[in-house]
Amino acid sequence: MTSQVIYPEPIEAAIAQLESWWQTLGERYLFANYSLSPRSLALLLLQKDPGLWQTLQRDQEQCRHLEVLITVTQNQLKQPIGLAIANTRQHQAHAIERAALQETRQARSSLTETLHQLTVNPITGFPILVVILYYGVYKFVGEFGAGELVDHIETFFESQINPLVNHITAQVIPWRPMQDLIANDYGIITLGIRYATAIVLPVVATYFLMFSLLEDSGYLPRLSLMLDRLFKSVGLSGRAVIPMVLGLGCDTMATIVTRTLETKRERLIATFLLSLAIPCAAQWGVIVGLLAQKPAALLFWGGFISAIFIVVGYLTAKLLPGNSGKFYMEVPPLRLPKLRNVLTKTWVRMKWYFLEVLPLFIWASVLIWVGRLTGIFDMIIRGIEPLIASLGMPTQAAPIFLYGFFRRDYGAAGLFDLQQQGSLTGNQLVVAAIVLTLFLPCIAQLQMLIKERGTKTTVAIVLFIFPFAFLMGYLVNFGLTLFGVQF
Amino acid sequence: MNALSTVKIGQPQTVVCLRTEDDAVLQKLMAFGILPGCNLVLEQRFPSYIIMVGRTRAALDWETAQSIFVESR
Repeated sequence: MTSQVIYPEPIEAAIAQLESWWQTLGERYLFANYSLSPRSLALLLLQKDPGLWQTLQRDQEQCRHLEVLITVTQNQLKQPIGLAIANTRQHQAHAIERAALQETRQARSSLTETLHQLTVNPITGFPILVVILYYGVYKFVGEFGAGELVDHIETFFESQINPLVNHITAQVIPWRPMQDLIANDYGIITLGIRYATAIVLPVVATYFLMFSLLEDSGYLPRLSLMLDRLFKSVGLSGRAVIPMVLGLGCDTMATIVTRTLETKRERLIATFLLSLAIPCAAQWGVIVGLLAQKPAALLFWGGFISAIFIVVGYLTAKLLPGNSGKFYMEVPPLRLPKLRNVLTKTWVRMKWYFLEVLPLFIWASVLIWVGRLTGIFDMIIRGIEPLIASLGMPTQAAPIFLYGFFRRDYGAAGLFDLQQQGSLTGNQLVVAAIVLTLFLPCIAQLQMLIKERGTKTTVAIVLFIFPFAFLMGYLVNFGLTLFGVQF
Repeated sequence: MNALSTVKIGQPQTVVCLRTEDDAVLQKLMAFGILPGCNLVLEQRFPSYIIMVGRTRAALDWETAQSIFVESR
């Protein structure tokens, strides 16, 4: 049997006073619909629980009364009220533990302990981290999920579903523009739904599967603690490792996950860096495909984007007021993941993500439809042609940058086409890859950015990213030409 | 009395006080069971501080480790 926790005398007196005072308040008692006991409420209020204090603001007299009570109680204690309460609970917990627990063997097995040491020791931990990211993220999510699975499902869509939808729409709707809204190249079903199911779903499924595996095994906090110092240099804490790694799968999803970061400042830096320098699985899939024949170009691209991540992150952290988020995290023991847990978590997350992202893809299709119908897209393409020329690229690459933003596969296919026609040199490919990476990943991510950070912040981010991406492309092209580098 | 960030690895310590202005950090440390009078062991310093407190293992950054003051047992 457990007895009630008895707190130091001044706290008990304050609780008693609050309880009896509330009984006299009648209608003015503010916590009538709370299911917590008056004693728990009193304890929370004495610790200045923000939620309850907000409710209390409705009655200024009660606020003042409580403030006086807290001051009187605090003066009688040698330590902060919160600490005194926590200390009392800790003592009680220890007493119960001593009475109830009998340890017969060592709590941790030596294998788990050795594995823990290997994963957190800098000498062995960093290589393990690289291996996990390489096989878990790059190979499994990037090559298998974003590569093979996407290919298969896309092919199925393009050969089976799209022709059927196009055919039916052509039969039922006589007006061509209305047909385009639902079917053909950019329709809601043939583009929006296809995108959500053929590109997002496999990437998200493989990514969440890997993520749940890492989470269930207890490795994620270790990943965070290993990278905390590196992330501090860009104004983030080790906790931000999780959305950043997620961003390598899909930036839209990672933008949602920045909700888990503690401060507004950290959330802002993380979303900004995700938009700028973290290529999503589709982006680096395309870029790796384009540059695979030229390892030096691939290395240059990787080095350049990493440098941008660190330099821009560092400068943003310096410019934004406030300090980097503090890092503290429990490190659970490493465990063998339970398949059932992993599958359930993957399924729940996929469902939640899919439902949140599907409307965004449908809206993207509608936006493209409007853009093409009104001729706005053609105008934008003509507008960016001089910009593209200044990057040292042929002007037929202009649509790639616009459509690539709406349809990543279109941008990629366009680049592949140009490359196969022999229209693009190695240097031009590197410049295109850099500009496409620094650009916002896609319209769905832009929509999520607005949803999470608000319109004002999004406009500021976009106004920085678009010119910055082109400026970097221009500088890289200029530098490569100046130093006579040919990839 | 020394800041946790300066003590020897593997030596048992007793927490004397927590000195932080940040209420969120204080709450989190208390939730970990890091309170005056409790015992802990520093296990690692780099890349992050790792401590063992009771049966809980926690990772902290330098700033947080600076706010925990301990004495050798």
